[in-house]
Amino acid sequence: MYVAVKGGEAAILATHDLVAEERRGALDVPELSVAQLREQQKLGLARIMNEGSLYDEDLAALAMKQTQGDTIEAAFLLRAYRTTLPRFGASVPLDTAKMAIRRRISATYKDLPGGQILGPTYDYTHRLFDFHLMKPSEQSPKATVADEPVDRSMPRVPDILGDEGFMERELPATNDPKPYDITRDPIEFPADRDVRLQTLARGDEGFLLGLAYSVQRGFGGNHPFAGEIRMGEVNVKFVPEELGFAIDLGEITLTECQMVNQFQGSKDVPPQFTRGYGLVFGHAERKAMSMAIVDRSLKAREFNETQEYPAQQEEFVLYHCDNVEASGFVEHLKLPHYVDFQGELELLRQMRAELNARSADFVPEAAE
Amino acid sequence: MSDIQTLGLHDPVFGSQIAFRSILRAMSTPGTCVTVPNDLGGAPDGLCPATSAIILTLCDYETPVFFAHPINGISDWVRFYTGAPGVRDPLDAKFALLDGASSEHSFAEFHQGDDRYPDQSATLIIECMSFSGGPRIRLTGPGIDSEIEISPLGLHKNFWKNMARNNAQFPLGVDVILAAGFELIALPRSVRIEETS
Repeated sequence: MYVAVKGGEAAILATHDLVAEERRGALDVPELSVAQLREQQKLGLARIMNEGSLYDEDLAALAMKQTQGDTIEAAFLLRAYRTTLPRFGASVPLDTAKMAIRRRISATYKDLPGGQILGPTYDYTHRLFDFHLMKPSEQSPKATVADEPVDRSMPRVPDILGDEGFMERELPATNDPKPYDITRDPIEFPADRDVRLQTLARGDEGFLLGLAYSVQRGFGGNHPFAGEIRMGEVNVKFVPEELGFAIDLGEITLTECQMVNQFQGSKDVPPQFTRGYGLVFGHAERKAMSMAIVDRSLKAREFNETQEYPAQQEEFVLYHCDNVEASGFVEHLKLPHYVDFQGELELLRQMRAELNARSADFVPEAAE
Repeated sequence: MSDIQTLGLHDPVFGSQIAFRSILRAMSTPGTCVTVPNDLGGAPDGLCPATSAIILTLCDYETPVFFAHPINGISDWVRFYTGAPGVRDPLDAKFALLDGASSEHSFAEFHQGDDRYPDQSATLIIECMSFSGGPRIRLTGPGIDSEIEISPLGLHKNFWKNMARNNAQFPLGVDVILAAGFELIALPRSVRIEETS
């Protein structure tokens, strides 16, 4: 018979000390500072902020330090912290058309108003190790400043298509109702677009990347083009009741992706391009692109497309893309299931005994 | 109203935790008289300290509040500390402050919850004069060890009849918190009410 071991509380307290030791690592190596992580690991921070659903680079850096780089644990810290923050209202919808662009590309138009601004991208790196980075750099890296700044405003590619009437029109519902807030009310199905986009924005990048890949490989009918990807800073505005006009609360870095998908036509609607939209915190193109592909894929219901494949099935996608929830359920298996298991063991013994008894009855005359 | 800045919880974090625990205890053991500490914070004129603690703790910018009686500056006070908007229609309220002696508003005017989400009903904070000296009421039900007797003073004569009618709708219906001075008694809709005197 299996017996539970005592001494649990002391053991648990000891785990905290062990984690602290492991986190610090070798004492002759300087301790990581939150400021270093904040400045030098921005792409990692972006993922933590997205999946943690909270924009705060200092907190994301602290989370990264505290969890030794375990992104999902870090996102968990941000989510938990988020629940303690009192809210005082909602911002004005962010206007990405007014983004201070640092990167903006389109795969659909070569020459477009504002031009292709490559910005700080890994796209053209050769994926070879730079062993100089093993030591602190002797000189501070400095990119050459251009003669002219980038255009103050750059129209969005899908808007260019929209002017010709070729882009699926997306208008707010009548009376422009308040969007559903998935952090306040549970998701119900069928899920509207506001619910889907919110859920995708905090969804695991890897999971969404895999789903997007599956769509491109044929498990879903869309052939996407990257209409535009832009990254830069956007002002967050708020209208305090006492003032009656908008004030700037600060700026955040966003990455926005608009995917343009193949023709869609029905008896009521002429063939047109359809849109997939991705919007994420920080510089996170892979996530924004994956989100946009899956967003379009989940429009299958509204476009009366057969929902054959996982990426088109909103319950499958929306329930499983949240990695904090997913890891909660997967990792909960580490909790004691002793009683359940005893039950299984007993059942197995019983079934085995019954089987042996039955086969004993059927032993052929070989006993002679 | 005197300096609005002194009329909140002295310590928003620990004060609201203490107040929350008090309300939780009151709700879990209905009929038990729970006292909030007298150093939690200020209360605006016209509100007893227990009521103030409840509102400062439970209300936020997503919980509209209905005030049955106009109290000078009360909307500003709630707005300033919690962000909670005041509403004119009782049905829109998540919390309501009523004077127990007045029969002006019936429980039925407030949100009763619905079958899928009964918890979405309103919570009524009802002020009375004190918790002794009134008619004796016997309470039984979940959270009560066999029975408990309370005798709040200052509630209008049909109050307990209305409460019983409300509670007959369980799981729907409103929840009530009685408040007097620093004390509160919670009467969730699960409580069975009997007037004994």
